[in-house]
Amino acid sequence: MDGIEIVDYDPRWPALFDDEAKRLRATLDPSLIVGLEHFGSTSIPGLSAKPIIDIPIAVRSFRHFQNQLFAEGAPMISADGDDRLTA
Amino acid sequence: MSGRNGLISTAELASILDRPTLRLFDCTTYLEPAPEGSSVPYLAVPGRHSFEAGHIPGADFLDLQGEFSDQSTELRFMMPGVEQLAAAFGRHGISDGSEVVLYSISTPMWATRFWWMLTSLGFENLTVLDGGLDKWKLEGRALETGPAKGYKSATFTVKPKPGFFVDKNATLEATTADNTVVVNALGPQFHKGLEPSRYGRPGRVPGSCNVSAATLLDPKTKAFISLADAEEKFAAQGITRDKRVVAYCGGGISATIDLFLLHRLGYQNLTLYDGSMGEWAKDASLPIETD
Repeated sequence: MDGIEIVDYDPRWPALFDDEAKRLRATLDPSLIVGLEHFGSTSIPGLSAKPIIDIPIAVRSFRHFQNQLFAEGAPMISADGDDRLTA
Repeated sequence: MSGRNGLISTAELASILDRPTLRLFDCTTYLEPAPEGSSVPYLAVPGRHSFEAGHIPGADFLDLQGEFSDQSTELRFMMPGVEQLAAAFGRHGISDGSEVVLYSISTPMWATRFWWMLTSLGFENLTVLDGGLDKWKLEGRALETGPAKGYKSATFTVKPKPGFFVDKNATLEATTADNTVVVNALGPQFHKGLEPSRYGRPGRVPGSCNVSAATLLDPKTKAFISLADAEEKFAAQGITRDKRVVAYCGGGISATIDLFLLHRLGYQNLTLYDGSMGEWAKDASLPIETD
């Protein structure tokens, strides 16, 4: 079984999130974005964590978001929820 | 509708809704991730759901992949034979005397794709609704719900115009041709090839410039930017009226936004690389360029 890498808290993580968030907001249609957050263990100061910055993005309509990703050429993103409720 | 130069406002459309010659269509398609192990990058899902939830009164629905695309290829949204198109547009009631208005939801790219296809078949009495259903709803205009009733079938006469669609070989030739500019409508980071692509190899057609389709729309209203602003963006990339323009994107859809504005600006020599990065990125025999 592959081991899970846990590393000491890295004070650069918030800045890495900020950079990525800025890039995402510049790319994505602001009218579709409801929330974009630094999530999970790397977001908690001082906590050791898997060195992966998790950024969940809440969108108003997932299918319109997918169309936007398509227009940009970005890879598809799988949704956990059912966006048909947000038509 | 010659005076409208391809574009109709919500107010103008509202004033002609009862015209018997009007053929109004919701062109929206959605994409869903393909099942694991599938060779296609995504599934095309017709926007019937959202059509039935609310459409402009009297409108019919067009299923781009299901009825108006080549079914013999894994590439999505490829231009089919003209006979297939003539039959399909006829089934939806378009004839010589029709005034066609196209719209889509959240983005005009599905409407401009149909605009490009119809234009390539010589059909001219054709406009795209500025701002699409989003602006129509924002203005509180009337909506109808339920399945499409459709229009009475008609005979669609095809007068194909050459050169509207090119393949990968013609696109490769265009990269070194005189007086030709190849323009990518994808987002800048995917044009630069700095991010993983949904299609395979990241990057762009060598030597192509970038006028992202998203930059040609107002992000809030989804309406097209002004022709003066669009011209500035194209000119900044060396796309001038004397040039032959080959536009591409990921699947031959968003590039039709660029083509729509170039056409409205009076550019004459326009063509679409229909296979776009969906084909190019996968074909290791074709050169690809990154920053």
